[in-house]
Amino acid sequence: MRCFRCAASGLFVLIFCIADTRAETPTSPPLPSPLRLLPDQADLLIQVPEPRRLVESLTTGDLLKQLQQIAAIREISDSTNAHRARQLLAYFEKELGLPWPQLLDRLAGRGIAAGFRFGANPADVLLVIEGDDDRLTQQFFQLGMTILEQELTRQESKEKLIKGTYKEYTTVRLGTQFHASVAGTALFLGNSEKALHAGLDRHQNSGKKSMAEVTGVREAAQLLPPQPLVSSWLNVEKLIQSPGAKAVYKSPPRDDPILTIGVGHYLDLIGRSPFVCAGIYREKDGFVATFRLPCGREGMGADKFLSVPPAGAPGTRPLLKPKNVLYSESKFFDIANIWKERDKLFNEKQARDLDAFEKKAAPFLIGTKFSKLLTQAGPYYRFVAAHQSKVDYKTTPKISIPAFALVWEMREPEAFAKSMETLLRGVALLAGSQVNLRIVEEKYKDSKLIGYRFPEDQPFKGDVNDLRFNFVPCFTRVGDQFVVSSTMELCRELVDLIQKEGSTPTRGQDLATRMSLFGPGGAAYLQTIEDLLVTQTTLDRAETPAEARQQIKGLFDLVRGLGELALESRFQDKSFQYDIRLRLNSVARPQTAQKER
Amino acid sequence: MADTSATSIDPRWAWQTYRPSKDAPWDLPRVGHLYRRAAFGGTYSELEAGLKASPEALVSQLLKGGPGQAEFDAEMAPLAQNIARYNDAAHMRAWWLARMLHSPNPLQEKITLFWHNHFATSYAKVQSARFMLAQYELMRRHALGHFPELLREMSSDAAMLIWLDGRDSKKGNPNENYGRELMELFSLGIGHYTEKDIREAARAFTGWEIQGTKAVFSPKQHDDGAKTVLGQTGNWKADDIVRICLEQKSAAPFLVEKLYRFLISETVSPSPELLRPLAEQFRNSGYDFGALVKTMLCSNLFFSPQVYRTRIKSPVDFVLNIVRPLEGKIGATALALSLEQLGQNLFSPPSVKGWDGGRSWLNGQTLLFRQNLALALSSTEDARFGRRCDPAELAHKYHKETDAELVDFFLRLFLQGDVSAETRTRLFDYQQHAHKLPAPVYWTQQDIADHRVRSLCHLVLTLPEFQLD
Repeated sequence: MRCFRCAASGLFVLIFCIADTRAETPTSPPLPSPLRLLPDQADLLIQVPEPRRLVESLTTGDLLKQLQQIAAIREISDSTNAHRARQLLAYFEKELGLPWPQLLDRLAGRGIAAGFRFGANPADVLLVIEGDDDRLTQQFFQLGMTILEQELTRQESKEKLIKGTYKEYTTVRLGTQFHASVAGTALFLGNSEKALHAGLDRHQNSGKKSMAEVTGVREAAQLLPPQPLVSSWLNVEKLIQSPGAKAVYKSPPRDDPILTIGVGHYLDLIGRSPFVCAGIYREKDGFVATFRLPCGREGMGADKFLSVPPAGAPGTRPLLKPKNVLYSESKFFDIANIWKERDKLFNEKQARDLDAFEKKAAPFLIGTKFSKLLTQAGPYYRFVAAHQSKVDYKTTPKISIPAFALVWEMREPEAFAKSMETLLRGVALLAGSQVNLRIVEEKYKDSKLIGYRFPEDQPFKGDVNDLRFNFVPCFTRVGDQFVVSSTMELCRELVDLIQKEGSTPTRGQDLATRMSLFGPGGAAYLQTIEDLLVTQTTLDRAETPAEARQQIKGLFDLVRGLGELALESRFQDKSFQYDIRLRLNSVARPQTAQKER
Repeated sequence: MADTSATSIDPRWAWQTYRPSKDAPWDLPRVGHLYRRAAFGGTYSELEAGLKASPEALVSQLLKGGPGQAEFDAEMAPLAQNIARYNDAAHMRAWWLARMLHSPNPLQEKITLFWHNHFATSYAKVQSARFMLAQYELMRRHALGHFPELLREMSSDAAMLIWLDGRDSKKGNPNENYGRELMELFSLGIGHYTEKDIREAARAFTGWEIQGTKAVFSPKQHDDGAKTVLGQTGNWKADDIVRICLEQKSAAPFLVEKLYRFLISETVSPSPELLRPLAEQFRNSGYDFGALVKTMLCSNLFFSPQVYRTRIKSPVDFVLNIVRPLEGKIGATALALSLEQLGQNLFSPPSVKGWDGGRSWLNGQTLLFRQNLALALSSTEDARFGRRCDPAELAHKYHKETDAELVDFFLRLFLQGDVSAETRTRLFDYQQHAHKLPAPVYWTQQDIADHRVRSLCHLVLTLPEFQLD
């Protein structure tokens, strides 16, 4: 396994090295896949169809340049290991007579594929790297083995490379967990003899089945968009075979109701899907990783009542993006069904407990029934967090906490808003007996904002950092949306945004979830904790505070340039899709550099 | 390092100021010994300069501290404020370690570490970096000052009030924890007080509470009735109990012995006769700890072969005695995390008694961790430390090129050359043999040479002698 770890870290370091030695060449056309050389028993498959395109995708663009401006990253790139990796690369280039881009094409142009078979510990692994030049592959292999041998001698290792043969192939073994061979244009690396032999058998065309013939792998290729940088396929059926897993990956009721409420829809999907596949793609302004399952809304059990928009229903509302937004989320979650469909979602005892809770909660809900609150609420909610550039108090808190708000769509706006107002006023009254909160009411546009302020002339036990002055908890109603916010300023901004989107905002078809983290807002928030970051950098990296501050400014630029990390889930009748998308801002130069100019 | 008794040591000779002689010359091993015990190891140039100074002058210099203390404190203070504000425990540990590494007054930090082990307050219960750092500051301020002042202020220190439940000690319901530890661990030692003394003392410590960021005395919560403690009766408050404890004959010997074990020897057990002159001096000086430290560091006994390498390096000493001599620019956060693995998590002693120290520092696991950490620090190949602590670079700096020069350099740097001829030969042979080992073909000659230097350095750090202080 150590050799595999070394290979993985070596690859990482090589990418950094390659960043410094990029070359301009056109993209190669798609080539046959080495999948045919992997035995069909693999449970996890990872493929890099065009290694050259992957490396170039990672090493071109502003992101890497910006990363290299961070001192900690630069230090990795200047490390002894990185230095040696660059020397190693240069040595291969010299000995094999080609620069690395051509070497990569000739040695791995047909792709890299790795298969993992679970069950044994460690799992059986076979890696196949296939190019189009058998002579060069053989040379590369010999050179690699020579270097490995030298490294073993240098370390005075007791382990030696042992040569052998399997059928007509020459094999090399180191210990019990490193096995390698070259067959034609393919290089095989395995962590067991069995795995290596299985690969060589496929090369010999012995009639044994390969991963290229596995139905699920073919279906996955159809489900995923074309031309991934990296793709993978996971045999889910095998993974969830254990009795414990079977109890979780099934339709409700489950032993743990929290699982049902939180992630029940995902558990149901995984329980029904034969596989999960994923791909990473380069997009115009960044990268996307997409996960796909060949099962969707159809056939889903009671979990469909909570987090899955019914067929024909609109998808989630658009994300709210107030000024300095850090995080925004918009989800479908039909909270009413927790009550209405409780007999299907929960077991008998859990449903009884819910009934009992309604009775117990009645005195605390001040005349409102728990079930009524649930059923009056709508199935769409949004949550947003934003950096506060200023607080609503004269006293500035010693630690800044981002403002945040929950916006819930109401089925019965009048009734729900009334129930919530009574409830929240009651809660504030109760809190007031401990904290002495002052109520403030404000008319803003067509909404009435009701908020609560902390007195500034009274101490508050335990709040040594004046954290309370980050908050003016408040609530309001905007049409069919109910807003609960941690500050009045954010609440006002949300009123504006909700009014602007109107009653029929654009909604993504089939979208069940949208979540986004925003770089510029993140950078603005990080600036509020600059002193802490400077302290940590000073101590982590043995810098002077002035040097650390300079480095932190580089970090702010990097975070700002990251743009947006967006997560979206989409339920279709027969499939499910989860995308994680990084949209990079086009940052020409860091701000600190601009200032210097 | 066998345990021995110091009954045969003449107390008069022992505490007289050491004067270099033909039999006991002022040599590099003695300079290194002083830098290990009174600091956290010396750099090559510090050791060489120390050799040129007199022992007394070097001790005085260590007691006084180097130039730039005010600037250093001014640079570190805002970092502590931020750590306190964000209650950042990991960086709190790193902050102190950075102070130990870079302070112009390492002896002050070392004695503060002694007090930290003496008062043994843990963040695990206090849960406030602000209070832990305030306690550190209190200990550092009085590290080489008068003990009664330190003990008086410690009795109302916020971290201590939480650690030993003083904040919950109210009139009518006194908590005995602080009173007990004050007598047992902080001033007198077991056998010099009764349970009744503890109960009565606990009443005197009632009334302290924490408001916001401060410890505040609340007269309403204080038991102002008469108490009898160690034979003295009166309407005693916290300060009175501290005074009464320090008036006891057992107080000075108790503290002197503890410092003896810290500065002089863990294995040569001191007889009461040996410590008596120091205890008398200590008591008569009004418990002037700086004077006591100076007497010990200047003494014949301190520089004698009897106590040489008779302590096992604590994890803090082990780590800093690598990084300081190598002149590494290493981030203290990763070092502080490593200390946890070695068994000395700063600001988190394992119990009210502190770390046991001595042989308990070493077992199969911690020894392995020490070897691995030494490799990580000296190889330049570990991601935590990178090339920030490079023995090869240091050897270039001091123009050490040949095998003999390199072996001599690292032995002088870490062990002041004080190893057996056999060890030296073994190292030299290793270095010679290393030339014959084939290196990967893609390495340059410089890579190969640097790698040999780093490996040699690591080998020196794994010698058994290096585990000793």
